Amino acid sequence: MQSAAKTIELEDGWQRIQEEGIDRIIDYLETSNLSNFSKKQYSELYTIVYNMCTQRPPKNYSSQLYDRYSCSIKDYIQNHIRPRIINKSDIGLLTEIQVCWKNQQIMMKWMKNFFQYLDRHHVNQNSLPNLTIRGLSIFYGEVVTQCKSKIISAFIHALELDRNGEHIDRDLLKNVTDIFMKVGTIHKPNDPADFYNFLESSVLESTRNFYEAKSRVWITEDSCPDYLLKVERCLIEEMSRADHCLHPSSGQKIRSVFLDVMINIHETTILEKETGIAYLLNHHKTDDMHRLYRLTSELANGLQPIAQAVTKYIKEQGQGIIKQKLAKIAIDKKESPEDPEFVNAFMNAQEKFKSLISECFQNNSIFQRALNSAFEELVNQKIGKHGFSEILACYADRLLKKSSERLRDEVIEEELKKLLELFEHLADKDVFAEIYKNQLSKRLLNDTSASEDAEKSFISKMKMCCGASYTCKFEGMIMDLHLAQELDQAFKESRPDLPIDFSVQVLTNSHWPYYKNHNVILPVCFSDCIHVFNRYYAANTQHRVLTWTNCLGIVTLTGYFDQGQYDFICSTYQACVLYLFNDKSTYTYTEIKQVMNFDDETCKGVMKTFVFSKNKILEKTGEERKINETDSFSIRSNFKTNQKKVKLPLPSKEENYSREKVSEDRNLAIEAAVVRIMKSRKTIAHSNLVAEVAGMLSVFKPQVRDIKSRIENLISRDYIERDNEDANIYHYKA
Amino acid sequence: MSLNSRQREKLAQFMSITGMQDVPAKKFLTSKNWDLELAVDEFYNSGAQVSRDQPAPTNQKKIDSLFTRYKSSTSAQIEGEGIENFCRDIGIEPMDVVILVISKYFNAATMGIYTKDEFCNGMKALGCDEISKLRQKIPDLRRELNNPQSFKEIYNYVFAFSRDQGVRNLGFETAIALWRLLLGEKYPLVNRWIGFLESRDKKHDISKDTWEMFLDFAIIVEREGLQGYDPSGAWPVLIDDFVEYLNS
Repeated sequence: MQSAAKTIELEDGWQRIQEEGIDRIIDYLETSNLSNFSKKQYSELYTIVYNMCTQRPPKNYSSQLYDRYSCSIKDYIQNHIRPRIINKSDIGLLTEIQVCWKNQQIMMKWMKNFFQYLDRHHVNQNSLPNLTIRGLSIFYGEVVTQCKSKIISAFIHALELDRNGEHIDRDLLKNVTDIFMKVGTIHKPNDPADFYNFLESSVLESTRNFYEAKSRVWITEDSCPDYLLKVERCLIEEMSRADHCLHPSSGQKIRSVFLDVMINIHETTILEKETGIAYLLNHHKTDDMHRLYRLTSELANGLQPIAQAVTKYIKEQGQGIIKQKLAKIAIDKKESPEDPEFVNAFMNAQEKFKSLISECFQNNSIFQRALNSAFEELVNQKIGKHGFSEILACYADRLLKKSSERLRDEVIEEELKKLLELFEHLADKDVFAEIYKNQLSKRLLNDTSASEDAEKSFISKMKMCCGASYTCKFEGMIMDLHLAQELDQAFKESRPDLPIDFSVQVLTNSHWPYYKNHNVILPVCFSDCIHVFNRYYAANTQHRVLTWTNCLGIVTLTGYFDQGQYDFICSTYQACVLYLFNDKSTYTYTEIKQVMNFDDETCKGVMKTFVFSKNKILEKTGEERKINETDSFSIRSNFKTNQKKVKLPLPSKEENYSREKVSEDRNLAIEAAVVRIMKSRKTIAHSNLVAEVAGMLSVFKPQVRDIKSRIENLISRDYIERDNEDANIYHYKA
Repeated sequence: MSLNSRQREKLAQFMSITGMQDVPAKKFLTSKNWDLELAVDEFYNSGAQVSRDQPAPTNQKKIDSLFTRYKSSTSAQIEGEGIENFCRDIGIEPMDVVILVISKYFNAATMGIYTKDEFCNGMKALGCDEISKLRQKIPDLRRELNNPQSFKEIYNYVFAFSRDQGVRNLGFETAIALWRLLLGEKYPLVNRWIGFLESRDKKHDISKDTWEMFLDFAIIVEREGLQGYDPSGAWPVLIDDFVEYLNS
């Protein structure tokens, strides 16, 4: 470079920079007419600076130029910016600040172009702030700090005008926000957002104050739905305002403050209004509830009180259904565990609540829990004489057995699904299982099951819910029946020569309910067949014990009367008694009892079906409506009916299930759980043991008292012992 | 050092509980600042009961002849009448609690019977080969009932000793009689306990666990009142029911 040869003195150089550069920029900024810098002019100025900075000391003016750069900027601000804003306020101030900031940026851009060389060497070598930062910090010091609070209050005032519907220039506010963010790098280089926080916190505070005042008025004036509507509208506006005027990070904060003021603080009041949550629930105000959900779901504990109200509502509705049922019981006096209307009402209610929770509360888990806890309470109370388990089991029986009013398969499937949803809430699923088992047995043995597919589908549903151990017996029963049929077929083929048509169902004892077996005396033609089968079975199997459950047998018997012949379909016991009358036409009660080897209960039960039912085959002496031991029975030879086949009523059914059996099973289950835990733990504290046992048993909820008495039992049977020092600790005795 | 009247009274009590002479007894009391209860605890914790650990030497023949004196004429063990005579000779009623302490020394398996082994080993453990020696020892034996630790041992021993042969639990009536006898004076609660048991429809026999836990319960209630009972603790169900009964 040629000019390098000629040394430039400080004042000479600076004069050129001032006149040809700085003054021209200021002129442009003030008047807006600029003949653009040509490349030549610009590079000339750059070269001057370059030269002045690269001359040998003492003619090296780097440091002086850096200082004069700062001074020029300060001068510009003092002469051209300060006066513009000094007496301004509100929107005027904001507008001016915006313009000044823009000018400052332009000023600095050009200045930086001229003085670039300083940044490269002088700034680096001396670890000084670079030109941009230097310029910005002068602006920060001379302008921003001076009128920070004025700007903030102007900003907030503008926001308030906007809230009140006076449209303001939102871009202007956004620009001020940007200035705060940019200047923040000067205020705290490590945390540039900190400076913006001054503005933000003021905005948040003013938002809080503004809506606090609003909410106070609205909460007293408006109904709950109206209030929510207003709140949501304001929220949308407020969010759009934040979006347009503030930094993106502020949106969420504004939202929290807003929801806190409008909803959180007043939540109880809102919910407890006459038009509050109870009203909304009772009047199915789906939209309003969904709105309520939207507004509260973000709050820390916003949903809890609503969920409580929902639980309460569901319980009330459920109790209403139960009350109706109880009223019906009181009127009818007769109480049957079979009440499809009641179960239907409950299932429909459950459906309704489920759709409520999905429509209004987006299936949020808090509300699912609310529904579950309400149903657990509802479903586990006694209703009259019967528990829910019993009522539900009877309903299942009704769906699964053959009947004249048979529903379509899909409907049954649907009903069973709903039933299972209620079933899931039962705390005494073991009672349900016990009844279900008895009923399934009846359906399978009496061939009254409507569809094996439906049976299997229901069993597999229970299995999904309670595990395989819950349903293995049910599955075993169905499996048994198939095997029994095959065996019976094979038997018949091997012995086509039996005197009567004789079928046998061989079942696995442990899968089926217990049936009390009387050692009755069978007619020879029956016992002969039994012997034949016994021999056949023994020859075809190994190590199997066969017991005959005669009380479950079904016999078809032909009777010849004066008026013709009839086929009677009856139980083995009934058939045996009728068979006796082949030998003699009259028997006393005692004779029958003796010949058959019946006990009184069975004997009376069987005899009743002959003399008190619609088809009276026998007539008896003595009291009319009661069977006494002194009565005697004889065939009504003039028996007549217009059916060829007569189905005799079976002796009256016993209870659906035995409570003793259930409690016995429970005791066993508790003891097994205790032993299992003790075996793995060896030593355990009482309270932990009780908790673990309760956790292990899923089919029913054991009472602490029951667990304790089982523990005591195991202590006295020397399975466990107490610790010598601490009686609350148990040891397992192997 | 002269003692004031309250200290003299405490000293006398302490000596009667522990069977100690006054000089060492005073030492125990002064070390515990004349707190009678603490001093007694200290006495038992220190294992000061030398006599129990090392019985006096005895003459086997003398003991054998004593056994023959009380032996039943029809069997090889001491039975009802023999025991009555034995009690009379050592100067106690047959229903005196102290007979349970003696039976414990005998390690007798069944109430109303002392076998030869039980009698002879027991007398040896007591360090007595003459009736007069045993008679002198009765006050010492009685004191063992005041020591919580040995009382508990006796109490627990009584359960197995008193139940009918071949039965796991203690008969209802026997249990009640024994509770009256063993705990009646010390724990007034026992009377309400018995009242409660008798008010129940089903009078089940008492299990070992319930028997043993009831002493713990009586001690706790005596010391802390019913607040000492923790309903979530591992108390037998019968005791839970009793507390419910007391509260209702």
